Amino acid sequence: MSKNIDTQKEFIVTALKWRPQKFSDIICQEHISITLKNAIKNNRLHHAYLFSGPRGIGKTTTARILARAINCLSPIDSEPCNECQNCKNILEGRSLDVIEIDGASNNSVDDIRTLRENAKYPPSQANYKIYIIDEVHMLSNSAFNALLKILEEPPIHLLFIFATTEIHKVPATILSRCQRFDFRRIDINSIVNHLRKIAQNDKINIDDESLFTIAKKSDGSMRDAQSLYDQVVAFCGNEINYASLSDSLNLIDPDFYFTISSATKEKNIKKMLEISREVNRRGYNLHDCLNGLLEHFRNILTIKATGNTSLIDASMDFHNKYIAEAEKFTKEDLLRILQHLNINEQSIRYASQPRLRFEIALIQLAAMDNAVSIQSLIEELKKITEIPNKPEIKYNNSDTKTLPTSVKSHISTQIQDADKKIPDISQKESKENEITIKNNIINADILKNNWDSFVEKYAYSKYKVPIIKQAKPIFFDNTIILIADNNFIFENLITNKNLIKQYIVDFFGQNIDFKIQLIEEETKLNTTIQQENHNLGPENSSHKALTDKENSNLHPAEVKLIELFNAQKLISND
Amino acid sequence: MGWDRIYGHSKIKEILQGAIMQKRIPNAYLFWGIEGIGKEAVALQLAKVLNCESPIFTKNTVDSCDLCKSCRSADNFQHPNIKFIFPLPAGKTEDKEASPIAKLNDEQIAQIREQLALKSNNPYHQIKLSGNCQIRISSVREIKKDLSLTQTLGGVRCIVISKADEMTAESANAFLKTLEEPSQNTLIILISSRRDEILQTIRSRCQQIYFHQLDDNDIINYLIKYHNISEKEAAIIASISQGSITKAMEFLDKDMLNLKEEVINLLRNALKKKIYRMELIERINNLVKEKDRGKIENALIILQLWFQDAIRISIDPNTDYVVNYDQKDIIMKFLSNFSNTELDLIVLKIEEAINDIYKNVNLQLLLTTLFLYIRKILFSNKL
Ligand SMILES: [Zn+2]
Ligand SMILES: [Zn+2]
Repeated sequence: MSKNIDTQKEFIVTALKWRPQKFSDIICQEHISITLKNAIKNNRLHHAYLFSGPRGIGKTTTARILARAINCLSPIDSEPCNECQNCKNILEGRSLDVIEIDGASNNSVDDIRTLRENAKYPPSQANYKIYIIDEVHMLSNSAFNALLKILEEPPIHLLFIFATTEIHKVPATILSRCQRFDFRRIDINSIVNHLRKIAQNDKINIDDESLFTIAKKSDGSMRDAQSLYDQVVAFCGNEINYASLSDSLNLIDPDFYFTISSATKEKNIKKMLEISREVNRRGYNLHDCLNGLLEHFRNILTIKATGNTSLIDASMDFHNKYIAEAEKFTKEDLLRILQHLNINEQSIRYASQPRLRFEIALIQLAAMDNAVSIQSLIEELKKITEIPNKPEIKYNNSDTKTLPTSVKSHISTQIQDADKKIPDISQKESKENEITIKNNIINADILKNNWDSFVEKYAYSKYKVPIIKQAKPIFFDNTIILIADNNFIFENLITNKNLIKQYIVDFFGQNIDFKIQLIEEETKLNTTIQQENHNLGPENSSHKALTDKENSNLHPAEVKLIELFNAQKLISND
Repeated sequence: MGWDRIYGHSKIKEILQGAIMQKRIPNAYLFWGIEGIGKEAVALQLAKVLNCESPIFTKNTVDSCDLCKSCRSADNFQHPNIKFIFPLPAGKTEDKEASPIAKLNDEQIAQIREQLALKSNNPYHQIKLSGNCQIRISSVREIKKDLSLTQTLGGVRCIVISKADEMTAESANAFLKTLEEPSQNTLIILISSRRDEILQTIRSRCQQIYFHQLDDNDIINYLIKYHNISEKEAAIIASISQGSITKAMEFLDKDMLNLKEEVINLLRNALKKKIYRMELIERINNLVKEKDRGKIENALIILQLWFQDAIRISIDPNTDYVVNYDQKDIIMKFLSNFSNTELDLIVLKIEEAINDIYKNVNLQLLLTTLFLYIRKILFSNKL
């Protein structure tokens, strides 16, 4: 006789349980819900909508609400009633007139052809036949083409709602036929407030610092925040405070960063050793640790530079601690510390023994000599420290206050975009217009002037190559040479060479000569060692022969470089 | 019983049992953390408990009985409710409707059987199949098909997806809806050591549980139990395995004890005041003669740890935070001879050399340069 655990689940994950059912429930997308409601009210519906934006911010939810609002038999102020037969059918997934398709699983041309066949027939019980295609970016090319045919001459009763997280994969021809809405990330305060409401409803005690931490970790996505919340509740039960939360999410205790900055100031190497051991004992992710440490010192620097705490992204409890910390360091110290951490944060990914790398990074932090002049590094460093933690997120709390105008301008640009048939992905084209090209040569000044925006765009893009930031560029007409000052950066650039090359072509709109050059500070040391090894066998001489051979057909830019830096190793991009 | 077979992760085990008892099992978990720490073992154990016919309860725990029919078939990967999905090689046909297994040849199927048998004996075994293995759309289609059928057995349907980061873009996207709105009484557990490679849209639909690296002691116990080696050797291996059983396995059968001795002799030789060169080169030649790059890597890791211990002892002579505890006296003597040197530079230089090993360099040259560098750093204050 089986006595299986009774798992008939009463538990519904929070994201599903709290899925908005009306426009007014949707958080932080007022610019979209108001426009949609107006379109319903004035009976000015577009035949195809495209909802784009990151995951978990309400795209699919809005699509479903819109579908119900349109077909609802007794709408209230353009909201679905959620009670009439049409609403109920849609809610239960039984509606013949609202069809939801998972674009990722039904991405073939045959799937779209079937859709086209069925779409011909008018709706059975409602005004519109509505197709919601989620993950629309996954359609194959021929499927998109088949879809285009319907969009070009849509039957009057037909309405499409597409949703995607990857708008750049949707062809321009489709984009230009849709009214597009960009959903935005949800700001931290809105997430905190919503989670607080959920917790109250669940009778769970959770403090503000925990709510803030969850909101911050969820990166503007409500669904992420709700998943994290579920996870924390599963770990901690009904009483959640910051200590239990950080334990359950394996967060690194912020106090721990303060211990490190103190040990840095006090040059307490022994303390650093203890910290390193503790980090290993607790099993923290070392890469996260270094990232957190970078953010910590960036916060200190921000306070040092601005004199107040308004710009730092930490909970109020820590603001005073940060002010005290800022007193301990000079700006130059902080820049050097950030430089040091930044290099380690990148190299630890490739370290064969990350624990050792981490430990050395801490020890060196305490052993830093702040007497050394670092003027030369500062310019470089400013760039590093100016990167906000997550550049693509802009939390904008003032939006709600200025709603009417911002909604208006937002929508008008959307429509303009659609009219001009220039979708977002065509940045390449617009960039080409910005950069004047004479005789197919982009001169050094243009390259130089646009380099920072290039780095800004690609160093933290999807396939990020932050290593670009570490390299010093030198510009010649139609040529860019990236200088690496250590082997690690050099190897990394080489590994990413094709990607960077591709980015350069994308950005500057034409083929530009691109080379990577290593100029080590230790050059002298290496030379002495190599001399000592001279009697070791053929490797050394063959290496030299190769260099000689390379020398014979050098690019003028390379010759110039060699003069400048007395350099040795060149790798060309072909 | 069942949970006992799992090393470490006591907090996670506690949480999962709590979730079962409070009926707060979500639709989907994502277990992540470095390779070789038992994520799959925990997932499969959870699945077993959820399906056990007479689970063993205490006030705060629930475990599998490991005796009932359900538990036994779970252990043999034969349980109809428990699907273990892992990356498979490409099949002969590209018929998308066919099941993922149907497309494989007999040899590949035999290999899968063999790997599953190994995994069944040792939950820490890593499934290794030849060929370009991915989780293709056919596997996702099969999951969806399974889930669409009505469940006939009691218990919870569990789908454990190993190396979820190996899903193709097509299969990952096709999987999104299944994750968000799964069928009743179903748990999906994604496993990954490369969480960043998983679509954010997938991650966002899971409760994510981070798995720590294991304690050195867990690794030692594992090595002794499953691989029958001496505690002394297990300790060396554990110290360089960064808390990962997978890493530890790379050092098995490598005779680490002898290698360590060889490395330390090499170092001793490099640090002689006079006439060291001929002997050094001879020793290096001896070390590289098999052209075994893996062996050189191990040797350099041992060397690196030795210097790291030297740093630790130089900072705190009384510390017990050392890997080479058997070397402490030698290290102390070394430190008294070479005080005030930049040992951190040496550790970093060794790391650089380790990274160079697989770059088609001449091993002899690499090692000679390295040891001359070490010598240079150490003697720079003396000469
Ligand atoms: Zn209604
Ligand atoms: Zn059982």
